[in-house]
Amino acid sequence: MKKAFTLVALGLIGLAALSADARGDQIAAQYFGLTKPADTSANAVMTLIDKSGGRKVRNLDLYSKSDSTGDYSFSEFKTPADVAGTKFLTTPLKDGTNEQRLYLPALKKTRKIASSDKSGEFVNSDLWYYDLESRKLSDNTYTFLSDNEVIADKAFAGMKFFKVEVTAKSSDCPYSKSIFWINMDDSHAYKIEAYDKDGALLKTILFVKFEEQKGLKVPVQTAVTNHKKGTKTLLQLNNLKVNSGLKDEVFSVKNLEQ
Amino acid sequence: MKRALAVAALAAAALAPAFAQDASSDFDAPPAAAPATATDWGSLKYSGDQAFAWRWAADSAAARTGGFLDSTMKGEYKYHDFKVVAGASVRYNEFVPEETALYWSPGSFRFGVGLQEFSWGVADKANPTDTLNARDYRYDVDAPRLVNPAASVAYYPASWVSLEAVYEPWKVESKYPTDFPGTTQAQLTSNATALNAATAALGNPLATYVPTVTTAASTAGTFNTPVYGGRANFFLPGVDLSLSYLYDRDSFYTPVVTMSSYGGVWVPQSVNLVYNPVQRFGLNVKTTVDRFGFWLESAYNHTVATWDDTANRHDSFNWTAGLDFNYGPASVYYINLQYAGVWVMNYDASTVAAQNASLGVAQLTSESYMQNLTYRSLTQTLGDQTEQMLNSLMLRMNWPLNNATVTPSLSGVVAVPYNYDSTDLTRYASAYLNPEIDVMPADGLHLVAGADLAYAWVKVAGGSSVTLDTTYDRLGVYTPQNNLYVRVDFKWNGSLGNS
Repeated sequence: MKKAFTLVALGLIGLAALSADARGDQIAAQYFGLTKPADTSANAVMTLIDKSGGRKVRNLDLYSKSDSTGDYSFSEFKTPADVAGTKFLTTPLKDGTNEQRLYLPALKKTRKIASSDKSGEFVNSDLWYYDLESRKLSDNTYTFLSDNEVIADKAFAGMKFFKVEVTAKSSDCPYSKSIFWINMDDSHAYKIEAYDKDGALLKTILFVKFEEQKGLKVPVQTAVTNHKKGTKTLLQLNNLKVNSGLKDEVFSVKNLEQ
Repeated sequence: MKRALAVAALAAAALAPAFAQDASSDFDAPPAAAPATATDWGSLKYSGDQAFAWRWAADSAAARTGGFLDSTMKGEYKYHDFKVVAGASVRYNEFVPEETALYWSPGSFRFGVGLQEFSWGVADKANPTDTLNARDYRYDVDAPRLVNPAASVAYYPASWVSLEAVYEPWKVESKYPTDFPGTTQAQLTSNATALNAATAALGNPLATYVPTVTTAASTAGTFNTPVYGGRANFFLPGVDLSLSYLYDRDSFYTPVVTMSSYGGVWVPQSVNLVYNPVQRFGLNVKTTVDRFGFWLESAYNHTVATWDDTANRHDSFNWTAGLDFNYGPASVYYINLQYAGVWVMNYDASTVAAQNASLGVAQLTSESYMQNLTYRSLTQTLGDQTEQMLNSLMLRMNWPLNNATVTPSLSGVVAVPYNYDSTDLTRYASAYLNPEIDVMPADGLHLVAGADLAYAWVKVAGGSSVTLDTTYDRLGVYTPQNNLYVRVDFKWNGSLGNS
């Protein structure tokens, strides 16, 4: 009798674990299944805050587009003078990976960037090149952690979240795992905690404010905190345009070089 | 009731910290730049770079010491597909025009006309295919480009390919720390004196002999000929590739010698220094594997023959292969390693020995022998061809700290010659080292301290020891100064409108 009880208990634990994974997959599928804008453009203000509170501001134009091959992005820095004219292009490849090219105005050259740079800082911000890439559902594994969670911040008052652990399958990923707070109402992620390879909390990404256009929600205020360095990066999108019909040439080498 | 109040108070206390935070308040603080207003009047961008540097000589050969204000101003007006760029610098106390050109980008094309700057090649600074612009080699290892009058067109028929063509009606001359006509004149004058003394037994037939040196600039038609070419760039999955061809001008003088006979003795009466045409065939490959970037850039330079092999610049093959990667915390540290080389075809390593050999009557009275000897003594040296092969290892590292507000860096080159004329000098290696630290207290403001140090390990013929000096520095043609420097550099920019 005692043996039978143990087997049942183990079975229940196994079943519970399976349910957690299945639920994690389900929530992740909803998140990744959200209708994404076909294209977006915005004037962005990136504020870098150092550990003593000092601020540096960068202005840049951001463009993105999706098609059957994958996601494209193009950004151009306007200020400060140190980085003005720097352009960054990401284009998808048919094998699901993507290529990144950087145009450096001082050198007047377009440079193909190695994947190592993807775990590097994007213009000394707390955003890494990896963070700028989009992901597919199949890129990760998902584990449901809990529901009815709240984020202790006024910006998220009244919201309830699923907590899902996300682990990238690729060794390219600079994080050991990430915890996503996914809104139980709209399935958007509002908070992501990213952990380093040693399992320590490395970054917290908060999607503070969304703007809805043409029935699509896009985060327009994002805050990234690097707990290891004590620094923070704020990204504010102004003049957001959704599905405005951006031409393919925007995401081209020609646009990098002109 | 009292208990209920206590529970409520505890709950409120628990909630209070939760809502004490407000992530959205962070976004109230920065003065978000006013978004550019769309207008039909186009957009204007302007920028400047003002740098004041002070240099202290680290050896007696230092060419530039003291304080210098280098200032650059640039403007760019864009109206739909049209863009006008204009710029100028005061560099080393000289006025220097910068890119000043009109660009038009209809559809898949981009046309350009004006004083243009081209940047070809994938390697880091050592670019065998990047020859469309002349350089100012007088003061810096990173010799700045000199803009060139040019018409250019680029065609982007698909996302994976672009085609470019360039036409330069004439090519601007590079600037060197060496006065090539002056040193050639001095060499010929010295030779004339020696030859006159050596022919005393023949009755001093060269007593009235005065050789002269002229340059292409003073000879109509020899330099003002066009440069043209193009390249095809392929942005393939996993690899960027480009092939280029240029009908270019040599960066160095080639002598054209006119011989005269004085009492039967043949001597170079005049030497005209010209820039000969050179055909350059280039290849660039860049790929990335995991965290590493790899590249290869090479060019075969074929001099268009105007005389014979001795008189003409020898063909050469240049290459640079390199890799770079980031490492360290958040991959902010950077390392760049390159192997560069040049191979000179049919290099003549016995010129000095031939010059040193005593001349008999048979040689002195042979026009072809004396002419050949003159070419051998001038052509390779003037063309910076001082060895058959030069192998160089280049290293560049930087370590941005504290969000790149402090960046120490180290750049260095070691060059080793193979098969050179060792009659007067045994050359072991040359080295250039540039340690630097860049402090950025605010955006655009850089306080820099560093050193330019170039040395050579050589043994003079007849000497017994290897010496470390700057006189024979192979890299020293371009780095005649060993110095310490500090620099305050301020960059700024702004814009109006948005097209």
